[in-house]
Amino acid sequence: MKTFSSMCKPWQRLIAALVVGGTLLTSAVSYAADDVIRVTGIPDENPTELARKNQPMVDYLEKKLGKKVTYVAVTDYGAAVSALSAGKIDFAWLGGFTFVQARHLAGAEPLAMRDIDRKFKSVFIANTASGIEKPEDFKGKTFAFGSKSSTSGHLMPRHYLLSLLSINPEKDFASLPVYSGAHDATVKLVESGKIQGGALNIEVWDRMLAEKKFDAKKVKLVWTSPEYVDYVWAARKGLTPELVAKFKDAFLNLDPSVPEQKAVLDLQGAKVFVAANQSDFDSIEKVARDTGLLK
Amino acid sequence: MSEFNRKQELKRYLVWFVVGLTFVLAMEGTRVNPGALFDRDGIRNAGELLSGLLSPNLSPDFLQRIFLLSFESLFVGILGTVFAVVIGIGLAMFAIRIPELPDPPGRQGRRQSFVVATARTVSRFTLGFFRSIPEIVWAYLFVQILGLGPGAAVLAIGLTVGGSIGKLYAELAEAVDRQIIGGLRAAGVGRWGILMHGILPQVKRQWVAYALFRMECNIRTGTILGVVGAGGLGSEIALSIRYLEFDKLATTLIAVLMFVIALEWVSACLRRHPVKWSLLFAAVGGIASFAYLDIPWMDLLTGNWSNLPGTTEFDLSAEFLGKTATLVWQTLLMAWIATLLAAVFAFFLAPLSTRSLVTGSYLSQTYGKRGLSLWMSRLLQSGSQFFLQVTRAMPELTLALVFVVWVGPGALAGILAIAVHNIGVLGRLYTDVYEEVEPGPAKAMQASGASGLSTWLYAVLPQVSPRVLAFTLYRFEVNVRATATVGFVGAGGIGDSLYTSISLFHISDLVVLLVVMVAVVTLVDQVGDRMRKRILNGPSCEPPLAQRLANLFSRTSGAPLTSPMTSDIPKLEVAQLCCRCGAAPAFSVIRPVSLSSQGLTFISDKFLPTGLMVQLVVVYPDGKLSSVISARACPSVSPAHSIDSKTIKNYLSFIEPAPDFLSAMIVIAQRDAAYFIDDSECSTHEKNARGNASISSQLDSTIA
Repeated sequence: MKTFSSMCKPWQRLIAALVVGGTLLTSAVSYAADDVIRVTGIPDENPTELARKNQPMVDYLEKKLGKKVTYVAVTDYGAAVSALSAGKIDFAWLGGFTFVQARHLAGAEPLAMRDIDRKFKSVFIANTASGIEKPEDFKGKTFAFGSKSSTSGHLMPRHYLLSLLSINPEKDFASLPVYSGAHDATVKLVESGKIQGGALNIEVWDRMLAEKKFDAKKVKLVWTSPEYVDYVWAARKGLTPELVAKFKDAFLNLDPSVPEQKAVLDLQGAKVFVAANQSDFDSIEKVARDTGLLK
Repeated sequence: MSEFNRKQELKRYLVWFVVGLTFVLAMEGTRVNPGALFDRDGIRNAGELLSGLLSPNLSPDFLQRIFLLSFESLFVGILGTVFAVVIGIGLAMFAIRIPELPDPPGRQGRRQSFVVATARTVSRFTLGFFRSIPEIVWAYLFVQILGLGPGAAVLAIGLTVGGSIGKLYAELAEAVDRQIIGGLRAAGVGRWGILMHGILPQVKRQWVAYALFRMECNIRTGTILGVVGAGGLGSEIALSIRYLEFDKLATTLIAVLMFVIALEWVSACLRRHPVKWSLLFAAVGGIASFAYLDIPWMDLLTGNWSNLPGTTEFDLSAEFLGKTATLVWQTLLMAWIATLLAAVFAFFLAPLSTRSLVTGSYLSQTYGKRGLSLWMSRLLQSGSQFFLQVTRAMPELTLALVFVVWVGPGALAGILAIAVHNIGVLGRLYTDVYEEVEPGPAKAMQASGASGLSTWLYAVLPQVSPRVLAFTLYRFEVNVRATATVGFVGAGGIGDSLYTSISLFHISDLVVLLVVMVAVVTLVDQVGDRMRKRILNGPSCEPPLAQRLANLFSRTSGAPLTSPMTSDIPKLEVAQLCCRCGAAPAFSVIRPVSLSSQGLTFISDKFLPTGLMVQLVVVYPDGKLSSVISARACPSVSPAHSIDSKTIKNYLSFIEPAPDFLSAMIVIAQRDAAYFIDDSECSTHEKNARGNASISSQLDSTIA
């Protein structure tokens, strides 16, 4: 046992390691560049799908803004909102409800939205074996929403269930509702039969239907909701007005006749982008407060 | 006498019955339906999972991605552990209580001791606070400051694990050899001097071993924190389950398993070598992690703290508080069910993976098993070891994600996830306990040809049941915290509400839930600590409360106690002989009659059945144990039923030749008309002396 003789050495070593680590830390910090524009979007779909949709847009933005643009992938809606309000992200593609959260938390500013976003809808779907024919039949069945923070996958469907169909999601389903996390995941859950009914974004539904991403014999459309306002590009507070204006113009000036820009529009599922105002989201905010999701 | 036994037996059955009843009631309370595992949907889901898991996705792109993410998780784990150790040691240094000399010279001023006591209380509270908030909550908070990426995971691990490392380090430091500290104290060495020169040299190996064990766990944790956007393999696991892509899940799980096992190997290596190698590993790993993980550390300093969402109004409505109480209750029930389930499985699997019971032997020289029987037992042993290893390597959160797919979201998924993970952990703890029993009785049995099963039942279990119980209780405390974590992926309990309040930014709810959770976890820890101490130290010597009260009021000293022991055995100042036997109840009055090198005849109040294994232990007044002689009860030479019902002559034959000092002991005992003492007192001596220290070192070996 030479514990006594070598007693001090390891601790000297530890201190040395800490010193070296500290030096590395400071040097790592010093070269962190600040000239990068960081954008993200809520992960309402499979990340590989989102990456495919976003690459042309990132290229286009880099050309327009003259700065390096990186797309930061997130796996959680809340993470996108908190990163935007913490200033870790400069621009984010948010849903109606997540935008209201970001506005409430840190004064985010709406910039541009797609033409379809002013009259967005949710669809209610069911497994064909479940015996659900009309929207009232969802009572007593199992049901899946998308993410808890989703507008078209949770907030508005919950609102319509409560107000139009008088179904209380916490009481009237066979069990507590399931939160699949994303729109396409809801379809997969209903298709697998693990859950009998679900609600999602109409745009994702239409595209999955067109691309035959699921077995149409197993899932059917039951009901389409009324219209509401959804997705929007939002800027965090504290950016220079020029940068915000440039970013907004980049979207408003997307020209379908230019092939690269048409590619951006197509992948976003838009014909044209229009300007968005704070007041567009007041109705969503009211619904969010009424359902108790926004406090 | 026989009535006394029957009473004890009845009490034992009653305890088991009550435990079983709590299980049933808890199942009822959480309203889970275990049938969901194997009903039509359950079997189909399991089939889908299994077929996916059996055909892992091996496309080069995906493998490369998993490889890179594995490295990220690895570095997160290493850096997190380095942080945790720094935080843990920093706080433990203040939290350690250094024992005073029996007659303190009164050197310390009152103010100084007040400062030390305050620092101790504050640092203990801080450790408890860090510990009782799950990593995943910390991670979510740090995402606000450091942004998305591994930085949040590193800090989260640093804080939560730092809290538990600090607590354990302090416990280990308080269990060191007191003579060295007393010597330093007497020489006038100050607190820091004692810490550096008295305590540190004694505990550094244990500290390093524990840090290495935690590193494995941290890397597992690092794989799951991705669920809240903190990088690593976790996001991949969460996504593959969200999209029901079980082939990708299989690849990811295999990756997790592979590097957890690889790390276990590395840390086993490091534990065998001097401490400096571990420090070198920590330094190199820490620096590599700093370089690899691009973490904006400066953000921690540059005032981003205002980003933390704040709130001024708290929802303290009766409805919300009621809901919180229900959730806490459900969380406790879930943890209880899961712990019991895991304990039952681990209890039966652990002896199968104990080397000394299956393939080896407690005897140092033995012929051992041969041929087919050897291979069969090797198969059995490695099979159960492998099962325990795999279940231990799977983080609860990952298992929860899998079970959510299998049985649907809800409490059942959480219970199953925690139970399965704990089978591995408890199995490992039990195995370690079985390997380290006092080999006397086991040797005695194996020498006379007993099988592994009977050695386990009659020689090992009776010795270790308090420790087995203590570990199970300890895991229950850990599981309460784990249950809160699995709720994040929809597996019931308070975690579900935590997640909702975090992701919907209901800050006031979050604060209320966290406060309640910290309180509950602290309470459970405190109660658990006391119960474990009680279990390990045996029943207290004081008469029961009712008796004491009766004595107080009646003012009569001669009230006979229910136990015959306390009244009729004189306390000895000389060394004592202690006789304890395997599964039989302790016998209370023993008096030696004659001794030869082959055996011992003595008078006792019980008849020892022929073949019963007995241990004779010499106990010195300071509680130190001398060596143990194993013996076996034989038919007595003279008729067994002698003088009267209270004194029965028994004959013990020694398994190994009796050492000389035993006869000396017997002579003293006969001359002073002393009695041998019974098992319960003997083990109290022993356990007081080393119980706490050994349980800490046991804990450090296998906590996940």
